[in-house]
Amino acid sequence: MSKLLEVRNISKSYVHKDGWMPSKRVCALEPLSFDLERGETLAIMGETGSGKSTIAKIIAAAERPTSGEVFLNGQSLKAMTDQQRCRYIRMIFQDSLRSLNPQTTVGQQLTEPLIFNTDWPAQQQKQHVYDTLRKVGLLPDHFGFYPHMLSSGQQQRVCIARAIVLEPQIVVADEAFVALDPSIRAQIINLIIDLQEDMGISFIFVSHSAEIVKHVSDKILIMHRGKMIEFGTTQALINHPEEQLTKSLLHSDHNYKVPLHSTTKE
Amino acid sequence: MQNTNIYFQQREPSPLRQIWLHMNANPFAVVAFYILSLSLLMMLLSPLITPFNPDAQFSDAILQPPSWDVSGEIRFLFGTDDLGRDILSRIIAGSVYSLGYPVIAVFIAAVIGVSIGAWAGMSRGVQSSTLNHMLDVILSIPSLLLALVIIAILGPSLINVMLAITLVLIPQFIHVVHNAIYDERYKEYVTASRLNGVNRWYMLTRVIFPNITSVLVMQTTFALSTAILDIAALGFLGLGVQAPAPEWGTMLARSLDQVYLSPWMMILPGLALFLTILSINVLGDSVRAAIAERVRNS
Amino acid sequence: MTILDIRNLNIELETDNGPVRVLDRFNLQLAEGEIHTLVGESGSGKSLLAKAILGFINPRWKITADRLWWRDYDLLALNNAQRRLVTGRDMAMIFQDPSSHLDPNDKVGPQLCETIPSGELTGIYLKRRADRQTRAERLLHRVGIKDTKDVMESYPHELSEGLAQKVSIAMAIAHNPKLLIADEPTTAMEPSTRAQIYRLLAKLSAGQGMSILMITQDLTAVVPESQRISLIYCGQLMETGPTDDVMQAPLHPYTDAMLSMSLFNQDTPVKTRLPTLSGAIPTLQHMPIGCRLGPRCPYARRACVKQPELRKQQHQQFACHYPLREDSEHE
Repeated sequence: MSKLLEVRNISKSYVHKDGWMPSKRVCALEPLSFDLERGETLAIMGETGSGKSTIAKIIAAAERPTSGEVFLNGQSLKAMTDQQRCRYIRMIFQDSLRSLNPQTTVGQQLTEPLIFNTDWPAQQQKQHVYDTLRKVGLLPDHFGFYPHMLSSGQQQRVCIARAIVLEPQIVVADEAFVALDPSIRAQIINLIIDLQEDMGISFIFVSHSAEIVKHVSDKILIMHRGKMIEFGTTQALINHPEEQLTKSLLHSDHNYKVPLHSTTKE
Repeated sequence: MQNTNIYFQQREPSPLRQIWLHMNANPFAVVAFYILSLSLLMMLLSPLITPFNPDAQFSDAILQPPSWDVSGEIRFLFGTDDLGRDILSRIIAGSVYSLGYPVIAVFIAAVIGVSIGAWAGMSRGVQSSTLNHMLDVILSIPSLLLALVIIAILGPSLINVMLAITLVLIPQFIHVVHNAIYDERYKEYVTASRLNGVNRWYMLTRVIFPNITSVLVMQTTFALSTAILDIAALGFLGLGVQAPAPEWGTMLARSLDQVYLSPWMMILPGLALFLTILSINVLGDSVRAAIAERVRNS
Repeated sequence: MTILDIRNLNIELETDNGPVRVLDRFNLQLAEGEIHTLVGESGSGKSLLAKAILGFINPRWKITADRLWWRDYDLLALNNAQRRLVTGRDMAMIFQDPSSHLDPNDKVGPQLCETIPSGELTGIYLKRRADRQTRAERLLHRVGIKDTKDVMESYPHELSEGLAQKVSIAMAIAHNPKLLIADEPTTAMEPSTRAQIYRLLAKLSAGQGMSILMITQDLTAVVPESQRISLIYCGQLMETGPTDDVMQAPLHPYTDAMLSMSLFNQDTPVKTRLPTLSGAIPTLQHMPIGCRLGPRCPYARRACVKQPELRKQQHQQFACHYPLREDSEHE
């Protein structure tokens, strides 16, 4: 059986035009390949500008690779339209408020993918949106809300709901946890772990928090200046990092060893 | 409405309603809104509410001052002109020319301009800029001058004036819509919608359009005040609506001869023109302020 | 010696539906040369506190306090001009997004020169100008920038985040302030840059006896050099005390929750649910009465609708009716 996601030699370069000078090619991402199995979580780490978001965007088809291909279940994504692709791969953006349309209600935005990807009657679509809202810990009441009426945690939940409403196989999250408060961030991480268990979704997420990466990921991909410098299982990279950068990225500054507190209940 | 609203909850109004609430907080905007609605109503009902036929001449009451004057008569509320026509009736009937025709011109310009602008905004590269700058050459001539050129060729008539004004307004609409869509389409929520697999028509009408309505409202009010002023100006010069039609600009021009003798003939149509344009401008300005306020708050 | 003494500070904002208490009986004591970390999630009023100390005050805020003293000055009793004099001389602030607090149309060098107090320069115009230049370079050296010429000749957008933050620190310490308020100085940065900035701030504090009030939203950002730590939630002080004590043995449920959420513990099994506080941070209009943590607190009981007094247990102070550990003698 073929792997869920195979990334083969994708690269990305931008063309810079500088007046009358011949245009320059700037390479944002050098060719790289990796695989992902069903139900696995891949974390992409790296410094600012190392191309980690570019990978995420290419996989989610928000950007086109300059060369290379991405295969899903052995099928090339290049041949698919946005509509076909979005049934399998969905994306969560970094800034939840900006990725939601400010002038339409949460319900309409969640129904939007259903209108274009299912032939369900309106009633069934609505019911499915209600179910999805419940799944991410919101209420059916939130159907009629506009994004700015929600708190930042709820907005992120709506974004997750939009990502899973089509029951995809892969969800790509681009720095989805950075802007959240600690207590809300823990809730969202819990939600993602739960969803993965329930629906068997594979996650690909970009993050620079070593703690989160260690906690949720199965595999880690380390980027440096557009190159993939290490790729392996989380355990292997933590225990035997080959590159100095890997070590420093995964080393979380634990100034305090804190005893395990079992006091906080759910 | 949700049925679970048992607890006290402060509900934030929807974005468009927020703008409305902001505007309601501004007394000038409210007054302007009422004045404009009133004049639009007056325009629509003008055949029914004019006390006399605007062209009817009363030979017994020539140059009658307005009713609040000592020598005025309650029969002619705003007095009569030098041919004994009732000024109130003429102002009401004139609103069709001075307000109704500009509204039509703006509407036509908006339909054409918004469609081309939307097309330009949704396409890329050469196609986009061609569409965007297609009618830019018209912008090089001031609207009044363009109207004069067209009238010089085709002769003075209302249709030609409308044609000139519509032509001038179209490129403005194209630019505004193109720029607004261009600003929106690279925002993350549009990318998100694209990844939802929506088609372009849905993207334009349901995703992007709700976010540029406020810009459109602003541009429309601006265009409307330009159009009103231009039609009145051409009427005043005798190139637009021809006498005896009770157009406000034409009435102003006619009153020039008797301005010392009967100032009300000039003041009253002038006041109507002034109030209409002022209320439109104030309204447009407060819409813009309300939008800015909302952006600042969120 | 305590240089900043805040007792029972209240800030009320006028909103459309009546006044809202954004800061509720807040206490803070800051000693000379001390790094004090203030941890609070969004909406906790931590930035507002910084503004209140510095005196960026909106006339619509109502500020009352039993004490708001900076050294020997009662800040609330001073008029605007006096207050500006005091804060201008003794305090400085750095912000979360450094490049947006620099003038984008001017090079870094001139902006930095501008911040050097002209009272300290002597001589004729040309000498003063040269002095400014050398002092600006020295400032950049002090914040650990070696390539001073290059940095001074660049525009703010050409600097990386870390560099821009260092420049803004250099500008802040130009007049040798006694207090530096750092409002989430590293939130958007990556860990290595983050560590650099923290090391720099700690060095500055140790080297010059400058007090630093470090405002963050995350316990992971607490540096070992920080002597004391305060946790604030929705404008109420939850717990304060020496950093080690608070981190090792928290007394307040909120501190405990924040600690376990921050994934400090390496032994947390991978891919398990994290302990967290349920619910969301309340908005300004919907602050619960009493202890504002109440609705989210796993230990909340009936008494929690009354706001707890600040209690002291050894070195730690906390505001909770049901602390995690009670001193046996105390009760």
